[in-house]
Amino acid sequence: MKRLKDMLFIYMCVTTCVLFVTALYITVFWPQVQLGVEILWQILVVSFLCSVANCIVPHREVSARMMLAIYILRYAATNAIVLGCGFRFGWFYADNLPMVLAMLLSIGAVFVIVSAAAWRQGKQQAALMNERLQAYQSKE
Amino acid sequence: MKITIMEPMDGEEDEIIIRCRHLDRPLMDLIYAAKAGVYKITALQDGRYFQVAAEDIFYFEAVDNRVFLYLEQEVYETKRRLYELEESFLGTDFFRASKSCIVNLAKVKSLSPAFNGRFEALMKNGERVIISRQYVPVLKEKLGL
Repeated sequence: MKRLKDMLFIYMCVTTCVLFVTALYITVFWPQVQLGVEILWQILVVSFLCSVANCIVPHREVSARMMLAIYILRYAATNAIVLGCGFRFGWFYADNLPMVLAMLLSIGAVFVIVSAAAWRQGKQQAALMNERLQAYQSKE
Repeated sequence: MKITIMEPMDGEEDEIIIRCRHLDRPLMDLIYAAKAGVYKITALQDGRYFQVAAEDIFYFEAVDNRVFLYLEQEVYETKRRLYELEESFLGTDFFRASKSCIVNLAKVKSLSPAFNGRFEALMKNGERVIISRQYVPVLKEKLGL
């Protein structure tokens, strides 16, 4: 249940950020184009795949170094998913360097924003836990 | 609640007898507090055995099939297994923080988020202990969250 909740939180953040980035991307690179409803489904699919990739957590306990490696792997997976899907959906041309760079930059920006949101959520939880910890210790 | 203190006969062990109709939460807390307060662990340091009071222990850690207990400054070894200690300290200030660690909540100064749903406990002696994702719910429950 907790994992599903975490995944929904990530999905919500990713979808919101991807929507903003898509709006910006279309404004810059495809200002004249007429888009169909399929772009909305494409955004939802890409966001979902990215959320799944970023919610995969090892069952066994891992060291901090391993955790960092997993983080880097997630970033690589996110890049692969967005670039793969983007290419398939015709969001960019592989031989158009500014488009590819903009995609990579967008992926990096969304990854940082979502990571920061998850970190902030952890911070809020920790603040609440510290409050309760003080109450717990003052009872002794 | 009536409290009666009786002196044991010569050679008799100190004993706490609780006469009650039902064990409610405050009474359970009292029992656990008494259990933790009087609990001592036989620990080894430099080939000599010592009795260490549970309340002085910051955390237990299993390293390479050996279990160590960490006090404010000193480190001792115990022959007991981590799961045995977990059972012995059930309902006290101690909680399982990871597969290899049991932490005394009374000795935690603060908590902060770490990578990926894990938390880090800053102990009152400045040491840091990781609370793994699997055991965060245990800690939350202990804190009433």
